[in-house]
Amino acid sequence: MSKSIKYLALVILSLAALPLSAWIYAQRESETQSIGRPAKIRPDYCDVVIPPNIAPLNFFIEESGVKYEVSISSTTGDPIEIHSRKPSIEIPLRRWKKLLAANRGEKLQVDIRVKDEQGYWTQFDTIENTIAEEAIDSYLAYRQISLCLIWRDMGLYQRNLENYDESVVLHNRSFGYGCINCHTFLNNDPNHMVLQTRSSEYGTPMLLAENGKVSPKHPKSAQTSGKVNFAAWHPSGKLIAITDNKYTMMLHTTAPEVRDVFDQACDLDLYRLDTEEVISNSQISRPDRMENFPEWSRDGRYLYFCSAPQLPPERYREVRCDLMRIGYDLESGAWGELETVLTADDAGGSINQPRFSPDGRFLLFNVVEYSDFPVDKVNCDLHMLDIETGAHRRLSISSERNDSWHSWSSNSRWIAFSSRRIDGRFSRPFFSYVDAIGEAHKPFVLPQKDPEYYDTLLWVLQVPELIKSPIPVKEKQFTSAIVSYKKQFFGADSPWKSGSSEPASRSGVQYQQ
Amino acid sequence: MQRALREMCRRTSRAIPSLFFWALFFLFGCLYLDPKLIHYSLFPYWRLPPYVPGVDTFGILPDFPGKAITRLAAFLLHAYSDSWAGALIITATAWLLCWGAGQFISVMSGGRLRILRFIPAIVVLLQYSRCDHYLMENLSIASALLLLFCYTRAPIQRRAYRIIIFLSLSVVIYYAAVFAYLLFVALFVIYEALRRRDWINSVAQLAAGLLIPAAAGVLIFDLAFIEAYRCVLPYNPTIANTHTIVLSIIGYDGLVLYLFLYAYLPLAGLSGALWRINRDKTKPQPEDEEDADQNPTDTSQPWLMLIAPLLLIIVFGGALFATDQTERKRLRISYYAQHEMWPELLHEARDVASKDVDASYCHNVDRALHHSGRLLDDMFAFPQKAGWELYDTDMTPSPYRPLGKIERNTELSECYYELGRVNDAEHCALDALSALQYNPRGIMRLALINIVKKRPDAARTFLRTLRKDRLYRDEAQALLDQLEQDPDFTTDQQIQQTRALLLDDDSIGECSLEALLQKNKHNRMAFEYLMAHYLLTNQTDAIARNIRRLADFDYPAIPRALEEALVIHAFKTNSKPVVQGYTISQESIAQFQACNEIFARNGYNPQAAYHEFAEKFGDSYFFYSIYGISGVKQ
Repeated sequence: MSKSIKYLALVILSLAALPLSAWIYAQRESETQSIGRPAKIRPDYCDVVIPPNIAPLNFFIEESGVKYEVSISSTTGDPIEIHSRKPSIEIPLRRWKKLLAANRGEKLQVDIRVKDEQGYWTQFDTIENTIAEEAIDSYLAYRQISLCLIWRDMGLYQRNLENYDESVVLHNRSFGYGCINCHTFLNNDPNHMVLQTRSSEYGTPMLLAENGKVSPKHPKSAQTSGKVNFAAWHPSGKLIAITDNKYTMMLHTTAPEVRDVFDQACDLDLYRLDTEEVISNSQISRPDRMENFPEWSRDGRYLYFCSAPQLPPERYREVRCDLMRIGYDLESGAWGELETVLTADDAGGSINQPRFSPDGRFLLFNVVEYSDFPVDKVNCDLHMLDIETGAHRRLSISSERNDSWHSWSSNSRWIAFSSRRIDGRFSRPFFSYVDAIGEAHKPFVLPQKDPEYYDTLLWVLQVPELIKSPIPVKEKQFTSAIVSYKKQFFGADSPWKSGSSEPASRSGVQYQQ
Repeated sequence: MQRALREMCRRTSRAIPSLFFWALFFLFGCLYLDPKLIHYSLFPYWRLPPYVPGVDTFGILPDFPGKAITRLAAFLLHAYSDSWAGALIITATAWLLCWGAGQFISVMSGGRLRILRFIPAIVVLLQYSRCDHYLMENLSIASALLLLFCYTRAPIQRRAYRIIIFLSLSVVIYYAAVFAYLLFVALFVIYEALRRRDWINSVAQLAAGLLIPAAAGVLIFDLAFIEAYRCVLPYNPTIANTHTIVLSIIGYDGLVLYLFLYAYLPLAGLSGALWRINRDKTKPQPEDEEDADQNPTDTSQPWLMLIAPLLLIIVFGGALFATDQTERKRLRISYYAQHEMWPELLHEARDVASKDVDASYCHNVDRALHHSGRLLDDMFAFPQKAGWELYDTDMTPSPYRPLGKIERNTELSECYYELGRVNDAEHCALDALSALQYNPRGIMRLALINIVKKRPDAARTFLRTLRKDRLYRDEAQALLDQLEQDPDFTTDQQIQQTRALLLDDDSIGECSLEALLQKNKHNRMAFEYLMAHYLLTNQTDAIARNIRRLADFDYPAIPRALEEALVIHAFKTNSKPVVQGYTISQESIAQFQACNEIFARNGYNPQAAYHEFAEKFGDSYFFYSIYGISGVKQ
């Protein structure tokens, strides 16, 4: 055979091979194998109920492949098709919002196909979520801190839940790297907020932010130090119940969780905003008991709180709080009788952090094995008390890890809480839909633009409080109020003056939650 | 063609000395300054907001003046982990400073005095020889010089335009490199006044420069008025109310050098301008002055051939002379400890002066001795102090130890982990991480701790973070892969060994060495540290009581220090030292007798016997038990 014929044959074979290859490729493209299970994705956005106004739930597909196709659809509207060479799936915001808005109360299907290196597609089972009818409050205020006591970077942040916008409300670098304590809102309204801060340089102001103005408060009386730990607004907005705790940290030698917290003393008081008067009552500030975590009933007639006998530190494992309440008449200032609502024995552990749903129907609280400080416990469950029936139960959404710092949305249909369920170490904000009968549905983590955001985040996001709109106060206003507090109340004779902003690390030190 | 070739040759020959200088600078930086020592100290993580590989930590931070350069410095500093990369960055920064200074001086002096451009290189070398980094500050100054260069070369004559350009550049420098803001304004004002002789523009720029912080700080960054001005200061003694983490814990020497560099440039510009004015008065203006500006020929002057070697001696000799050897040793010891390079650590620790010994030194040396199997033999060959072996002291912050407690926690967490005090190790590592925000060494320790504690999910979070760090990527990935296959690490021998050291019963408080030995009698580290503690606190009776534990390990002979303690104990109690399975060496007994003879010769006066005793037995427990110090034998 001559050389030219050989070349010709080669060219013909090559030309024939091209369509053949294309055909094989097309066959593979069209050949999709169903695998009979949903794709593994993280965060876990499967079988969850989501608000119709939530930001896109971007996710990472934990299936190996070279191409990824995701189709997000519902009853009405065009499906969202995403083609990606990476397993990180970022959903377009505008189309997502449109799809959710058009399908309130409907199912949301997520179909995932993955192409492997050989060119074969794998079709996974549809992931089905539900779009709730009720929206969630648009903003979340939360605290971002590192894992331990040296708070070089701690801030109160707010996040728009309808997109990924995040902003700093107050960062501790603006006041000597002090501690930003709990933030509390009146009826989910950011126009009425209290926030506690503390630092060796500026003292322990309680910052009251009302209608765009911030003023420092110093609720000190003969019985109280002026330092506030937890606060609860009376529904009228005229009164705040406050606690004064003396937390100390202890270290375990071999328990799964290193740190533990013991409360050496805790009492409750009321702080009237109009007269700036501290109201004490012996029934809620007994020396032989710790009264903690105040919460007002929605009609404002009862102050609920947690209470346990005051024990010496070595009996820290025996601290178990009951849920109590006491009547209070705002107009006359008359106190009612002290009542036990639920005992620790009945709850199956120490009761902490009671929070009423805005409609007043449910009381959500934590139950831990012991202590009045649930945050450092390996396990902490969410429990619900139905005020109408008096029945209480552990919520099925509670994980084997720590779920705490819960709050309600203003329509009583959503709860936000910090949970360590992802890795047992770092708290992340989770949301759960609570239906009319108080059944909480599978929670989902706060969505982020980067689906792998939580994989490497070494900060704790806690105290998630749902609010209806952004906090209308600038960081500078908070800082000015802190400085102003120092001038007004934080004298040279204060014991804080000689203290360090960096707490010691051994047991017996002041612990700031 | 020939002319062009000649010109090229001329330019090349002029560039050779400069290239030689910078090559030498790079080599000096790489081989002598060793930037990896800075990287592995905790300083970079404290001085700057953390650069977490793969995580936009700066994106979360609110905007603050100087954020761009701070971010760049944090990023570049991460490359210091390789000494050659660090040296390249240091060289590039120094070159930028010298080039910018050269351009400015040249413009001001009419192409003369460019030799002064090398001063910043000297300052940079001195800074690093003091074992600290000034990357952020140096880059800020270089940025200011770069903008000034652009301004001087811009062919804009109208005053109004020049003012507008100045205003724009001022905002840029305030936004990006606030540390050099004042310097930037000063250089512009000097340039306008003395080079362009435009006094009106100069005054206008000065006024505008003073107002920009108020406008930019308040309007762009929402800073308080005072704060807007405070952050333009070259040195800000407090960080409490600033929106930037500035020179909070800068060393005194470093501060002087930094301020010198800051002040040097305007002074050099002024000198150049005055020199030029004086020259103009005495000599007629050369016709090709602009050429002189563009192509300064000063480097071809013959006298420079003599100056050049002198310059090299001044630059590199100065850096060698100014080196903070104490700090370098400290950094090296810390580096070797982190990399578990025990022989190198012990070699480095041999000639540390007693006055420079602190808890960190003792802790690292004792750990190195333990890992080399020499703790109970050779511990008294090094300076020791009771309690310091386990860092039982808080480090007082000082220029040398600005991070006191954080440093302690970082080092201690590793030792605790090895001892089996895993919870204490976790607590220390978490504390250090909280303070530093990104501390790869601590993060790896936390990952291992969580693996030991069978918390694979938490370990994954730490390891995924480390996977984005090129220095820890492979190690982190290997552990992640292993976690996938065996979440409890049941087949990993090292993890199993550590688990075997853990206490069974939980309690509140400190986990003692005795308790660790009670749990696992083969915990060699706990045994050696317990014995070391008894030795350092002169509890010879406790050593005699616990010497039976030697049988739980594979010591070929009684370690020297224990043997000496047993001899002393026998002498005190008038008994015969007996250790089952071992014999007290005749050498120890003979040495004890020799010690007694020294005392006898000196009338049993310890002070009188000190020198002879130290010379012969300064590395022994005999000496320590009398004088309470060790490591004095030459």
